[in-house]
Amino acid sequence: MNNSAVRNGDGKLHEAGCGVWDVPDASDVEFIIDAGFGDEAIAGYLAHARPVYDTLNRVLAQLSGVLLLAMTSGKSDLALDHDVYRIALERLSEAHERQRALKAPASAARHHAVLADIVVRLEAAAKDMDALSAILGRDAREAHMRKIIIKLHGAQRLLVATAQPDANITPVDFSHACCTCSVSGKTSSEKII
Amino acid sequence: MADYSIYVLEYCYVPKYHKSGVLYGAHNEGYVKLPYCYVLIRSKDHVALVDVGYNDKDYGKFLGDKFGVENWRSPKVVLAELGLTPEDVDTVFITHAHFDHFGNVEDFPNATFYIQRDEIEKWVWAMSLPERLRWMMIAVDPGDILRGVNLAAQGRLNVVEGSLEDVLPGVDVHLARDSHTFGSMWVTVRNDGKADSQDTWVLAGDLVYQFTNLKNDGSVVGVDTMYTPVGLAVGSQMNLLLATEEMMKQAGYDDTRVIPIHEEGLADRFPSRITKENLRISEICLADGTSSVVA
Repeated sequence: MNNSAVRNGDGKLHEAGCGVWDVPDASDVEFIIDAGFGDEAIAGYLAHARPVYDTLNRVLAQLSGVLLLAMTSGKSDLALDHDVYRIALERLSEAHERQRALKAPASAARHHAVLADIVVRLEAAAKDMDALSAILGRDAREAHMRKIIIKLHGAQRLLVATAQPDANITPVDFSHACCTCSVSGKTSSEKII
Repeated sequence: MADYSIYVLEYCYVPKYHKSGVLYGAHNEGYVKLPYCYVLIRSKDHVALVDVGYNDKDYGKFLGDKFGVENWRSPKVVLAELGLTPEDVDTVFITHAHFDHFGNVEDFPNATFYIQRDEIEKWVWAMSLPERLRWMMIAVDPGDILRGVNLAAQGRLNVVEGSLEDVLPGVDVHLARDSHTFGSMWVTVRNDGKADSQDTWVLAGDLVYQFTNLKNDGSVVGVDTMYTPVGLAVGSQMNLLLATEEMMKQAGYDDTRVIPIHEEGLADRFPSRITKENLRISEICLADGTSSVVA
């Protein structure tokens, strides 16, 4: 492995937002058809929806994580880790663009609409988080925090509702978890979303 | 004098798990049963758990269908075997953020939780990386991180940095950085309460899956036995082995006092029984004046 691909001149790992990590996406329509989604239009939609879903899922994790770290830092101003927060915002903006560009067949219109709703909720939560450190007074800050948590929970519930595990659209990557003895992922009945 | 009773409580299992997942390098050596468990630590003053399992309603069917996870039972059912309810639990130690250890915090409304800062910080960093580095994010549910936010908002989450002694009297936590996960933690119970305890139990989380990780055939390198790491390390096998050495040292190099939770053979080493739900309870030790729940 060429260390220069992942480390800078000081030998430190590149920041997560650094351009060295960028590569094009790949889609996997055939895999999704094999998993039981016989309709090519749906399979094509899911193949392109997956990176959008994954990004939204990770933005949720990033925002939650940044919030969690701020809340447990012991600092009273709840200052966010701005590097991670900025990356989350960039990814969210990117996911928004890709979600808008997704072409959904009629049978996937609801799924597509829910993805849009997740984007809206995450954007609203992120905006509220940005304002957090400027809010004075413990009670006001706690009330503001509750609003953020409600929005993040709304997004998380929708992520669970739009999961399609057999198309690898899932909030959790189980591929190397303690449970991965892979009984069988295939099924013969055609799936719908 | 023993202050705590300790029990390993099975809450589901995988009947056939690749042995190579349990034991690093054990390729083509077949399958073993992999129980999923949490550990109950109980004294007259406290009811504590090491890990909380996962909530079947979130991904149970998927796990069952795709990965063969069977016979999941809720903490309410599992703890009832010891006459307890989830509401009785006052302290929870989360050894790491994998869904099967951290995925059910909502079932314990009265507990205060402990997790390592490294575990949260580095997962957040990993979540920022591109898709092709997704391997570092395996088995973590963003929903669990969000539920951690809820705990923090309620003042019920303590983020620990490194070792912390006497979290409960005689109960310590320790960090195994960059090992099984970014910030895995183990729990040490000094059951006589002494700093130089002669009655120490080490609850290893996933730093050790089974007995073979502590005592494996070492003939390949010319020794009788050797530590062999678990099959999954987001950090390094070296750090897993160094953590194993630390745990063994704390236990006076008595490997029967380092408790792996994914070990079916606990039933052969400790008094155990199978419940009516077909799940195992292993009784690791009993506090003074306490009766067995498995006899």
